[in-house]
Amino acid sequence: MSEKNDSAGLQTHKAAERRNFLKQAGMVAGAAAGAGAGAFWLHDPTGEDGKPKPKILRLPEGGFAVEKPSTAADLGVARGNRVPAMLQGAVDAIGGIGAFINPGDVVLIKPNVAFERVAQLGATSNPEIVSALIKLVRDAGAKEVRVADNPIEAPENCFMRSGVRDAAVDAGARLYLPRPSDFEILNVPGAKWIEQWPFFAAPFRGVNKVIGVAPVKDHNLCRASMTTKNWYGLLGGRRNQFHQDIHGIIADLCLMMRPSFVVLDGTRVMFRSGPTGGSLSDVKMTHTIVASRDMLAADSFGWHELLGRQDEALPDYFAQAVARKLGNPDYKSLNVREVQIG
Amino acid sequence: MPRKDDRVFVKNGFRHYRKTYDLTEVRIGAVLLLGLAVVIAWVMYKGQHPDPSLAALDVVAAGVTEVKVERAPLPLELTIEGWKEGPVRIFEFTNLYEKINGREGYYKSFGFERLHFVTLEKADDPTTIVDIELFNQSKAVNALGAYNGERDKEATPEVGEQGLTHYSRNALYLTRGQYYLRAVGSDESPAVLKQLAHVRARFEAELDGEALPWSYALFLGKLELSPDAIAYFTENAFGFADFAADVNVGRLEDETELFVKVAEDEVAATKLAEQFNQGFLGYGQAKAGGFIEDRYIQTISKAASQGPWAYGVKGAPDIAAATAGLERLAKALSGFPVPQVESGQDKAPEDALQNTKSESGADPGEPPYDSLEAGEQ
Repeated sequence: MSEKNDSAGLQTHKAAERRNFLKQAGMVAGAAAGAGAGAFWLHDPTGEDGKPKPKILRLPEGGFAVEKPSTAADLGVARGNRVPAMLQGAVDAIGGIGAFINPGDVVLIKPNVAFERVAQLGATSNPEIVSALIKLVRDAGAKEVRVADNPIEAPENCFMRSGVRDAAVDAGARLYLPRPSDFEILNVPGAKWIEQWPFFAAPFRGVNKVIGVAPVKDHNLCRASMTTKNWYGLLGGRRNQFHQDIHGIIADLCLMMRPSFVVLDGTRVMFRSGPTGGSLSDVKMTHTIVASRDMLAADSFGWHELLGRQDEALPDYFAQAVARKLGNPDYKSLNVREVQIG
Repeated sequence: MPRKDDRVFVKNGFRHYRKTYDLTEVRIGAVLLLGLAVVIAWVMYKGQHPDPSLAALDVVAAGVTEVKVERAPLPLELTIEGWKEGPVRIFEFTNLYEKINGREGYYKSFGFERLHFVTLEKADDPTTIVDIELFNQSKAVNALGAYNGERDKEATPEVGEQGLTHYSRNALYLTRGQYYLRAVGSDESPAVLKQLAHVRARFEAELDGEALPWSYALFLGKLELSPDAIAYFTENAFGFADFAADVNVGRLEDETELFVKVAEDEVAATKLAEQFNQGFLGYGQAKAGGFIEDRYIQTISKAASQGPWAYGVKGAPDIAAATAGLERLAKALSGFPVPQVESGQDKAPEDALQNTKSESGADPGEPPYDSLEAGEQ
C-alpha cells in the first residue's frame, strides 16, 4: 500500500515537474523570441536611426521662375555708367520689373558677398547694383525685400567690407546673415551631389521671388564664376569638398535654384587671380549689366563678351547643365536686346 | 492581505498624510521658487537686452575671437602713424578654405603650410585698409612659384638677394625664403601706398630669408633671363613620369624652354637625358642631330648631359633655335657650381647672383606658365 501510494505520488510529482518544465521552457522561449524581435527592431548599426530626423525642405516645383511675356528678350544688356538706369534698361529688355514682381511679393536677392574685399576689387557684387535692384523691386510693390548670402569668410566682415550691408540696409532691405539654426536639409531631386544638403533656408521662408546678382570673375577651379556659381553661397555644411567636382556641383546648383531672373554684374570684371583677386590690376571696367531668366545664357555672354574668352571653350559645367535642359548658353541664337545708357 | 483603502497610486497628490509639517521645508521650497523666478526673469531680461558685441559689425573685431595666436613670423610695428592693426588670424592646411575657398588649391599646389592674416586699418577711416596675407609655402622655390603664377604680367619684379618684389597698383607682392607676402590695399591712395611701403620695409628687415635657389643664379645671373621666365617643377615636368622631378625651366623670348636638372653623377645625368629624350619621342619623331620634332605642333626638343647636369631644350621653333638654346645653356652650365642633390632646391652658390638683371633690364613678357599648369607641380 505504501509502495503503491509512493508510486502514485511519484507519478503526480513527475507530471507536475513536466508541466513546470514545459511552462518554464515556454516562458524562456517566449522571452528569447521577444528579445530577438526587440533586438531586430532596434538594430541600428550606423547609429543614424537614433538621431532626430531633420526636416527635409523642398523648394517650389518649377522654382521661382515666372512666365516670359512674348515680347520680352531673352537677354537684356545695358552698357553705360549710370548703374540704376543700366539696371532698369537691362530688366526692361527682358519684360520689365512688373513682369517679375507683383504687389505683395516677398523677394529674396542673392548677391555674391563671398569674400572680405572692397567692391572695387571685383570679388563681390557691386553694392550699387544691389541698392538699385532693391529700389526697383520695392517700387514694383514688393512687400518685403531680403538680401542673403553665406560667405566664405566671416559674414559680418564680408557684408561690411564689400559695401553690400550698407547698400541693402539703406535701400530698405532686410539683411540675413547666416546662423547655424538658419540651415535646413534641402532635397534637390536629380542632383548629383546635393540631393540632400544643408541649405541656407531661413531667408527663403515666405519668399515667392528670387533674384541672383553675381559679379563676373575668373575662377581658379571652374574658370569662371558668374550667376550659376553664385548659388554656391546658399549651401552650408562642408561645401568645400565639392571642389573635387566643381563643374558637377555648379550644374547641380542650376538644378537647385530656378530664379525669377538673374543680374550679371559686368560693371567690372576680375579677369585673373580669381575668385579672390586682390590687385586692382586684376580688374577691368566693363560697364555692362546683363539681365536674363536664363542663367546659362547670361553666363555664356559673360564668358565671351566680358571675360573676353571668345577663343576658349565654355567650362564643362555649361555642358552638364545643358544636358539637364537647364538653359541655353548659345546666347547668339537667342533674342538679345542691348541698350546704351548715357 | 491588502486592505481596500491602501493607496497603490497617489490618488490625491495634494493631500498629505503627515500630522505635522516642517516649517524649514516650506522655507526651502519658497527659496527655490524664488530662485527659479529670478532665473526666468534674468533670461527674459537678457533676451530683451542682448550683448551689443553679439551684433557688432566692426570690420576688425567681428568674427575674431580673443584667442591669442602665435604672431611670428609677422614683424612687429607693421603700421605707420595713424594706422592700427587688427587681430592676427592663422589658417592651416586643413582650414585654409575658410579664408580663400576656391583658391586654396592654388597655394596648396605650391606646398602651402600656413597663412598669417592681419588687417591694418587707417584709424580715422575704417574703409581704408591693407590686408596682410603671409603664406608659408615651405620652400623658397614654392614661394617663388606661387608668386610668379599670380604676378601681373605687366609688372617686372625687383630681384633682391633673398627674393622678388613688385607693386601692382594697390598691392604689394614679395617673396622671402619660404614666405610669399600679399599686401592688398583697399585702394591706391597715397595713404595706402605709404602704408604698403612701410610693410615692405618691415618684412625685408625682419623676415628671415634665404638666398634665391641656384636656378635663379643660373637663369638670371648667367643666362640673363627675366625673373618671370623662370619656373620650377617639383614633379612630372612636361607631363613626364617620376624621373622628371625637381626640374628648373627658363623660357626664352622665342618660347624655347631651357631646362636643367642636377643628377647624382655623370652616369645618372646621362640616363636622365635619355629618359627625357624618350619622353619627347612619345609625341614626336627623331630628326638629324638627335633632335625630336613634336608631331602635333612641330616644335623641336632635345636633352643632353654634361657632368651631373641633365639639360635640354623644349618647344624651340626650329632646329637652329634649339641648337642655339642648347649651346647657350651648355656654356652657362660649364663651370657653374654644382649644388648638392637633395629633395627640393639648393641655394644659389656664393656670388652667383652678382650678375642678376635689374628691374629695368628685361622685357617681362608672358609669365612662363599659367597658374593651373604651374599648380600641377
